[in-house]
Amino acid sequence: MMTGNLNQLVVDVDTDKCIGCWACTHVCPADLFTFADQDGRRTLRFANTCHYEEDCTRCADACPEEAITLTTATETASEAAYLTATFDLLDCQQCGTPFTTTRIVDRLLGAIPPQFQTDAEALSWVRLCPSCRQLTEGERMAREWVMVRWPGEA
Amino acid sequence: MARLIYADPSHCIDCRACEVACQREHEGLPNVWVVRVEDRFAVPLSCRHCERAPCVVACYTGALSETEEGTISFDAAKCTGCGLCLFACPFGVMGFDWVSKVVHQCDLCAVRQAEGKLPACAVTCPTNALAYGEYEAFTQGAKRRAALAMVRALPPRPAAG
Amino acid sequence: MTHRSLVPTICPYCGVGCGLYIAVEDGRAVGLEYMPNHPVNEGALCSKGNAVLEILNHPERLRHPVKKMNGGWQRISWSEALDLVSQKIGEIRQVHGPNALGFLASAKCTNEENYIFQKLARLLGTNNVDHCARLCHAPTVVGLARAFGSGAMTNPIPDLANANCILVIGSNLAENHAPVARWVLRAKEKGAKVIVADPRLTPTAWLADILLPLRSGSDVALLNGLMHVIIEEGLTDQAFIAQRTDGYEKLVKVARDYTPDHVAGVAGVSPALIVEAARAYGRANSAAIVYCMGITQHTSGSDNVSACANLALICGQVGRPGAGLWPLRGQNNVQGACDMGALAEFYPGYRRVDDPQAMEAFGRAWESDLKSTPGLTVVEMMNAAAAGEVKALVIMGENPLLSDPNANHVRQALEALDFLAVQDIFLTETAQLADVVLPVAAWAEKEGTFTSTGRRVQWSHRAVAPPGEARDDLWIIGQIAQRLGFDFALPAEDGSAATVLSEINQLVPSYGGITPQHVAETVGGLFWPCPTADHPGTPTLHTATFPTLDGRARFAPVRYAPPAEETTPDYPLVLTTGRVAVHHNAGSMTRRSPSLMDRAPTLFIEINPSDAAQLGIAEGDPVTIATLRGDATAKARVTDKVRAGTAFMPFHFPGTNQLTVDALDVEAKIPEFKVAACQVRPESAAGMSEEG
Repeated sequence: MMTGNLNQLVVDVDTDKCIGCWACTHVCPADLFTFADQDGRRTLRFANTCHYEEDCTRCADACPEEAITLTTATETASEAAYLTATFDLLDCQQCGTPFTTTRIVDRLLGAIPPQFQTDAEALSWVRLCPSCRQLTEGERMAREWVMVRWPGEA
Repeated sequence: MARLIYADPSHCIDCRACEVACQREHEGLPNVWVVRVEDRFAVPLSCRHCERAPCVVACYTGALSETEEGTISFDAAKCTGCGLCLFACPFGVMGFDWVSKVVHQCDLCAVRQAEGKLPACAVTCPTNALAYGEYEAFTQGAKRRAALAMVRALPPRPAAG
Repeated sequence: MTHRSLVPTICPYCGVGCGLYIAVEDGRAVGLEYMPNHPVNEGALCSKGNAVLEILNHPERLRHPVKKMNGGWQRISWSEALDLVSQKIGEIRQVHGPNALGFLASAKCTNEENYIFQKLARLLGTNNVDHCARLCHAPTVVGLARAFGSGAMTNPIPDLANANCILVIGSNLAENHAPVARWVLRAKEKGAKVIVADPRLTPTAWLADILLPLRSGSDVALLNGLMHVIIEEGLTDQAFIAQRTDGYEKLVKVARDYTPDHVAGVAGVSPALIVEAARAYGRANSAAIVYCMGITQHTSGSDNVSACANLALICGQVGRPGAGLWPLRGQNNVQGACDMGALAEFYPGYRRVDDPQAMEAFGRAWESDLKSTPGLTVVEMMNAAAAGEVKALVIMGENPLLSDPNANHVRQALEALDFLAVQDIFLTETAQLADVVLPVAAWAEKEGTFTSTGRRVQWSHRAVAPPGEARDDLWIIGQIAQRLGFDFALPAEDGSAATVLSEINQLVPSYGGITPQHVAETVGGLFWPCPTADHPGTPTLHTATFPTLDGRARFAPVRYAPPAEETTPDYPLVLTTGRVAVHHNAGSMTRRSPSLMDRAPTLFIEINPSDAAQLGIAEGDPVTIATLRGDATAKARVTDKVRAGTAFMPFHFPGTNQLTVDALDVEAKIPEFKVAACQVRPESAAGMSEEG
């Protein structure tokens, strides 16, 4: 990573390391990173150069996978070119809505605390979207009251 | 022992008072969601302040951290808006603010507590389905309610005489 | 550091009358704080109460008087507006007589405002003053007065926790009176049995130990059935019946016919459940009956209430802790508006307008001759307006175009008027049809008393000033009265409410001791009757005697009569209407409240899966619903909450009341909102619409 006055930086994203999260798209003050989810895939679109005036390294700092590197440009480009990277989204196992990238799910699976992974079934929530996770938890909590409130129903 | 919010599905009537109260106390962003289960029950869900929370593990900036009291605290200044914690939470009770691009979760009404007040959802819940307190006290109450309910569900004893 | 003060007010939404504080900084309402020491809500609030600030500070709040001009609105001064209203009233009264005038009072305004509003109407020579109680609990006023001599909730709301058995019939209190659920659950925690009778599986039904899914309108049959079993099994309280009632034998005779098998056929509830429920109620030491619109909004509404009273009386369940009747009234001050005589047939305090002694007493007090003929009630007023008999209406804080049945007819009626004046906080659907609209203060912008459904008279304090030029209704009515030649002696600025309350203390015996000083400093207010200044108020009624001529309660045996409109092959489904948790009545406030609209944004219709399958309707489909009165479109919700053959729509949105029937209960004059015959079809399908 390099800084200098009147920056023109080359932005490089290592798309093997990138997991398709939102960090760069949210921290960049110049809106150089955007993402769009469509048809079960997430497309990350990013500029390959940055003209932002301050000494800014927010994108590189924010990336959880350290996939972004910034280097000083050797020649000045008149305008940025945009590059894209696409990622598969995982469909929620319950409602079918694509909710996050498969790479994010893999990263999360690698770091779940022991009490949440007693067995394979106990981890099934990972493949549910947050809304369905809420529903599942609600059902679990309600279940203990079902026999009391509705003794006629199983 | 941490004082947390506990929910009792046998008392929840899906009135949404907790959601509206939380939203008002948190600048329009609610941290509690009432889930309706098959038109037979409702359960209000919010951050459980888990021990060894998956969201804290997923957070690489330290924006989410565990406090000494045993609660999860959130520092928006450190949040990159990556969204990883949203998908790390097993209960789906982390929210995302698309305007300021950071997450939000139940903070046990830190602002109210600093003024000596209790969390809004627990105060406002018309049926005391939400309680703010220690786990032991809550389970005592819940066990008592469950035991009573089980007794009532038994078939009636034949009349004497 | 800015100073923040907490001003105690009473929630402007429903009749539970919860206390809450408005936090004020620099004259602005900046927050809401809970009131844990309020005896009824103990600091809790429902979703609507939690959202009140969204209404108080709403950008659409009316700020200036306006008059209708070329189809638009022209801003006018207060003096021009008040002159115009007064002049029109005077003119029409002069040319067509006082009964060409109509006045709709407000179940949302204070007791003081309702009192002088009806006073003005009567001084002008007409008893055409009524309000929306006619649409909800008029049968309670009639039915409980028949039985007990007094038509109000008999015990305080928290007293429900003392009941061993609670029968909830025709009430969805979990959604509409949430803090009442708090006390029902307290009773349950102590071992009480809860019986819920409702055609729909509501969140209230979730709390039931015994669920009675009766057909809409079959309440008299069900209640008579319960009484039949109770009498058969010797569960009556014979001592109570002998000492405190009249007419038991006639009741026994009628109840004889309502065997469980017979009732099962009418009500659609199994005989076993009827017996179980009867035993639960009959065996309880203290038993409560909680009821609401499912009982009242029928052509048999008064009879339905009588049946509830009969049931309580045969078991001696009146006048003791946990024993009584809890009619849950809707608006924050519908009880007060009734108490203050904003009714076509009653003076303040429920003496009838055709009672010569009452006429004399009020005539003397108000220094005027009064008319003895009871006036037109809400629906009758609309009919008379449509027929050109009523030529002017003054509407204070009501929205009949949304609330009344048969909305198309109401629109015609309002458009037929020579003059329509509306006082409101928003430009409601009704206000849009007005000639003059006057902007008024909301609850936290004025002071005065509100009477909750539990007979608590509570003082609500003024927290902030109203927006723009808006003024409180009390001032407005005083100004109009003055221009019409009546001096109500209201102080120019502050203290008007206290002045009027003092007059009420003189003329309404049950409010005699509810003086401004006394009530303003009591959290939880005072229960009427409170006849003198040193009286503590009366939490529980009928403990020793009933306010009838002989001090005894009266049995009024009633027989089942079917609802006015029956299903036909063209209109095969029963349409019933009701409420949802996050909305309130006509929706003028809640449909402008963002946090509430987020949670229930549109009109929907609940249809049973078997009916939906037959009609080819899937979850979320737009459908058209039609009745003989009109049609509406809504989103379909396919759910087994409603029984097959019945559909449900909430009445908070325009559309539902296009469909409802305006058939009235003979005595209470309430429309049968709860039963209409409808047809439902997918929106795209060809139906009974005109040729394309």
